[in-house]
Amino acid sequence: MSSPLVERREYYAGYMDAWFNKNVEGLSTEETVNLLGQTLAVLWESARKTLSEVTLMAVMDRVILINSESFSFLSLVKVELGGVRVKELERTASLLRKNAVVGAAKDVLTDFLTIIGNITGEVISRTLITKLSRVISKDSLSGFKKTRKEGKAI
Amino acid sequence: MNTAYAIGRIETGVRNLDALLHGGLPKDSVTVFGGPPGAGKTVLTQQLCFHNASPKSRVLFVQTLSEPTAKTLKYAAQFSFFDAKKIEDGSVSFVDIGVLMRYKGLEPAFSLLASEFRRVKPALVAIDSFKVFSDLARSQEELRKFTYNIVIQLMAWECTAFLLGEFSLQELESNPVSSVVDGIIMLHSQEFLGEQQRFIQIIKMRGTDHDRDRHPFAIRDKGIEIYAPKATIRRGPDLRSKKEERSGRCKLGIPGLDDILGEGISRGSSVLISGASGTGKTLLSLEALYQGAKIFGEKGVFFSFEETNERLRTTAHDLGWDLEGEIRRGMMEIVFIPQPDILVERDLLRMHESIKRLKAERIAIDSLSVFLHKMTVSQFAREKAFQLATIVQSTHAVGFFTNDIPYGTHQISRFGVEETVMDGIILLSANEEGLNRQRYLEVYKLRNTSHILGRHKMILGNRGLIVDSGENFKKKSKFKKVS
Repeated sequence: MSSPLVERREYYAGYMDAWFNKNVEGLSTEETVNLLGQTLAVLWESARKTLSEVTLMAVMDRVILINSESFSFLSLVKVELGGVRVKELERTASLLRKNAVVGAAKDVLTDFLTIIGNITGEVISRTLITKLSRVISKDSLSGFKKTRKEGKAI
Repeated sequence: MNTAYAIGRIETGVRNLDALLHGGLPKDSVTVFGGPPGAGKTVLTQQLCFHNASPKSRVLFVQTLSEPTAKTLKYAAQFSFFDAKKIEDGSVSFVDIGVLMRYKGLEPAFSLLASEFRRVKPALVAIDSFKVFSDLARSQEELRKFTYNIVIQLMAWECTAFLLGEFSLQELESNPVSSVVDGIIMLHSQEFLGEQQRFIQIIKMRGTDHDRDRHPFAIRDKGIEIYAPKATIRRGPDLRSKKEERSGRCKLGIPGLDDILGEGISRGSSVLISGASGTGKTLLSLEALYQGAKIFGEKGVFFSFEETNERLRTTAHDLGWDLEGEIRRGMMEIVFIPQPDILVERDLLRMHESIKRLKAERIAIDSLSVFLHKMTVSQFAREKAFQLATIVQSTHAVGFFTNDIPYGTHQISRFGVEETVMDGIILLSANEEGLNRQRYLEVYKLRNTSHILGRHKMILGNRGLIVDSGENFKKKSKFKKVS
């Protein structure tokens, strides 16, 4: 019998699987990295006021560190007080396989949601999931790209 | 408590601590272990950590300025919970930040700690001692910031953490650490009933209901053992399954006495056998257990605090009882605890465990008065007698508790309170009659049982005790003189 903690991770992994299947079709590797950066920015912003940037930074630092062991390119992701920066990763994205990037992104988001869920007793998880579901669709992604080019904050 | 979000628990590996925590330590909690030097904080932490350490659940031990790691390891290795392999395979890591902290302050110490978290990825973290940070912080503000940062790291890594320190409760109130920890467990030692004893108390533990009393503990080669009979021995449903439960009342197999006891003693009952010295209490209880094993196939444990194993065996042998055979068959056990070695709380648990292990249906405590001899307050004596009676009740056994009362008094118990928790009382006496002394037995009380009242002669026959129930007594009592 699996523990509630394992079950919670499985729940988020299942959710992220479905979410990626829906949202990454047709995206290039670079766009997939964009998607990860955008998603993390939205989650960060949603959780920031409640949990503080120091907490988010520590959690994200752990998530990136753990997943870098399986996906070494994640070490190019920078975690700072203001959020997560994926610019370095974007630059090298064309050299990466899309499947690997999707796999890494799934694991990063799954672990982030699981840890935030664990440390808060799932209190803000529903909000984060709601934000996540609103972030991405192909349409919004093109909107995101436009916004990025214009240099506006998300 | 709302159980919508179940907080995971971790087993402590410390005898009875999980019971006091109502199911183990809340996972990811940060707990202060406070108390003076030598109280047992480090041993408790090491035991918890080694119990939980594995390659998938790594432990980071942070040594500050309390003692050098080499010394910690040397003493930890004396305990059976210590496993050097867990250090070799990285399940347990030690890091000493003492020197860095002393010369460079708290900030570099925090950076080193953070990098150790990244390196080890621990599930459990112990900081020994955390109080050193308060001593070295240049200001209250610096201490607060440092503590906050550490707690954030612990939280982000989902660590279950133990912060050790020579804190008193008063000191904790003014220390920033108290506002960020989930639990406070205090350890100390003090003189109790004439002995120096260690005590543990859970002051606070978020995420779980918990026992709030102070409980004695000992440090043994296995580590810490907490004795908390008040919390672990409770009246409730029988421990035996219905299949194992013996139906019908308990007959003693002692000629004459079973006639007096009517239909017999109810299972789960405790019977006090009171009398002055030399009235036959030990013999009566030993025979009740021996005949129980031999005639009725009921297992028994005899806990003795005065008569050694050998002396009891010799007594039985002289009466022609094959006590050795019953012990060999696994039907009986004699547990001898010398009077000076009695530790009431510990021995209550030992008894409970022995009875459960053997599935004993008859239990003798010889004697209750010696077992409780250190109790100076009758309220404690009553409480302990009640716990013993609870063991008997919960194991569906029958308990015989011998009790010394001063010669020539009308007392029916030593402390004057034991009888209130017993289901039955058998009084033994010995009166001078001419040049002889005659023994008598009286069933003074036996709950839910119609028994014969009054005093009855009791003699020691060739094969054991014989009680005059009026039925064929003369025929049965072809006895040798009572010595």
